[in-house]
Amino acid sequence: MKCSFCGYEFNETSATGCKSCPLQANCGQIKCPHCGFEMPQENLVWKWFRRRRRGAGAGRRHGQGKKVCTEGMTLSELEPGKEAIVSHIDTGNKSTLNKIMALGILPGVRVTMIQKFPTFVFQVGNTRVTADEQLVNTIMIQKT
Amino acid sequence: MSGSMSPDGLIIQYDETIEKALNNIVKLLKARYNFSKRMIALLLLQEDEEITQLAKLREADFPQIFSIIQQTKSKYKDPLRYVITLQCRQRTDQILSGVITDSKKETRLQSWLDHITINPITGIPILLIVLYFGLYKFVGEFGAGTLVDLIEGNFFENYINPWVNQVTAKLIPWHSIQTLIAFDYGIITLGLRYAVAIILPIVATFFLAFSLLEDSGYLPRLALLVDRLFKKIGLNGRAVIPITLGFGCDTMATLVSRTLETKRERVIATLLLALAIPCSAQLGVIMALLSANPASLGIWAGFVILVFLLVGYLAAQLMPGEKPAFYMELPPLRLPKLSNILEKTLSRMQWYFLEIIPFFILASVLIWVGKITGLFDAIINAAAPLMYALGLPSEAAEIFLFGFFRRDYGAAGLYDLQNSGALNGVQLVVSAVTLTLFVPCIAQFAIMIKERGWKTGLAIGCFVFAFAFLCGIILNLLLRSLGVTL
Repeated sequence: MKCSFCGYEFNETSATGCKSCPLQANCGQIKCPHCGFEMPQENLVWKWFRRRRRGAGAGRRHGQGKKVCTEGMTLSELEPGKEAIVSHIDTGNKSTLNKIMALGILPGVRVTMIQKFPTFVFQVGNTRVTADEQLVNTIMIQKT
Repeated sequence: MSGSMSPDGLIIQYDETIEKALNNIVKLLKARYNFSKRMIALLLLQEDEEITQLAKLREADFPQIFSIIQQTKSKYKDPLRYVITLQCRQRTDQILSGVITDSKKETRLQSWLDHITINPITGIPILLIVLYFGLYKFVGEFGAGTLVDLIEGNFFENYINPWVNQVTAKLIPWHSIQTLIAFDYGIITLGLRYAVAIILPIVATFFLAFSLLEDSGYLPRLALLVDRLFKKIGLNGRAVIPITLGFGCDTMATLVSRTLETKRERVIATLLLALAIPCSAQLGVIMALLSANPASLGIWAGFVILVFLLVGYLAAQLMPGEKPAFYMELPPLRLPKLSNILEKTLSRMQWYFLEIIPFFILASVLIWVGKITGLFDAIINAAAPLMYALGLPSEAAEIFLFGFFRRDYGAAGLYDLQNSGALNGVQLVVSAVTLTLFVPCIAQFAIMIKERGWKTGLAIGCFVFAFAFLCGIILNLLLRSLGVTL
């Protein structure tokens, strides 16, 4: 999503709450990792509705099937068996970034999704990596 | 970007801004380091904590270096570490693309096995089979049953203990010192016997099974299958290792929980191990006591699982700190090598043995002190109202106290009480649940304090102590008010 204050684009799942707050994930606020501005979390129903609309709208505009609009996709949205290229890594959290880089996941690298449930499994180069949603959500991809 | 060969090897050229910053920092570095100055400069730019600390202490011009780093940082949108790694990677790809050709070597059987172990539909049954045969059958029945009976029941009870008792009785005239070394709670007859005869076979079989799983590459698969569940209780998939270890021996599992990444996870894992994970010794006793009546076994298991999930969930909500992240490299499945497994098992047994023996000796000394000073009798008397709240006869206090120091004694006490008809079905379930939730033994308590520090260790101990009895009281009230007869 886009920060309504500074316009920085980031992934909302990696930006909820402030550390050390006991409410943590469930306070209903999203904090922009760039400027620290807090905005209310999007309603689940509305989010689902908007996603559907966006998918349908894009399909119509391009006159092709669904899911053409792939810009800003996270790795978690990649279907099993499909291949993509890492476009960038959402660099909000330093320790998360270090973990991802240590696994050899860097922009330009090809990833192939193997499995999404119960935990994500994907192939990066010659290594197979398993990671949770939180981590996978910070990896932005571009479809080939 | 280009690379050039220098006498010291390959030097990777980064982009202009970074190269300029690197050269400036190198010029400012005056102290001697173990690596080249360029390497130190690179690490400083990437804000490596260790090197930054070191440079702060050693470099007089550190403020200047710091300002160079800040300037360079402000020129990029992403952290410098990311930028540098990216450029490094591009260069690596350039070099590798000229010399490497890809070839797939995986066989069909391998990829099939690979697939079925991570797919939840086939993976979870495989997981259960592995845990059943690897842990329950091999460690629980063979290690904790057959081997312990052989070494402890036969070797120690029949040969070593009588001999030690005789020798001490002859050599030492004072009765109190005699009991420190030999007889029921002596250092040799209790402390060493426990370590050698009970813990050693369990640990040996466990580490053998564990090394086998580890070398076959199965453990990461196990972790990925349970990660989602473990997230709910504030842990991540990696914690499956200490938690399953706990069913073997909670003391060892608490030691192993140091491999978890954050302090928060370590504390939650320690708490859950102390509270709701029964070790193989407890499991054996409880199975023997309750298996005659499947309904009581069901109530016991259901209640303990409920407590495990509830406390885990609450701990995950209340504990401050970063949420756990799960990521692991998934190695291919391999056929383990026997020599490696044996070597690993032996070195782990040695490590464990050396860490644990002092605590067993300490436990027998503490029991000796408690007995001699009459402290134990006082505690048993004081606990009578607590037993009343649990709906248990006052003799049950002895079970809990001695169960903490010496598990087989507590169990034997429970058997005796049951046989004499002092306990009915409900009372038996209540005491089994309370005994399970209670801190399993003094060794685990000592390790908790050693690993988590005085404050946290004691806090967990006190919480578990209070919570175990609270749960017992609640269960007692619940069963009685529902009029359950077992």
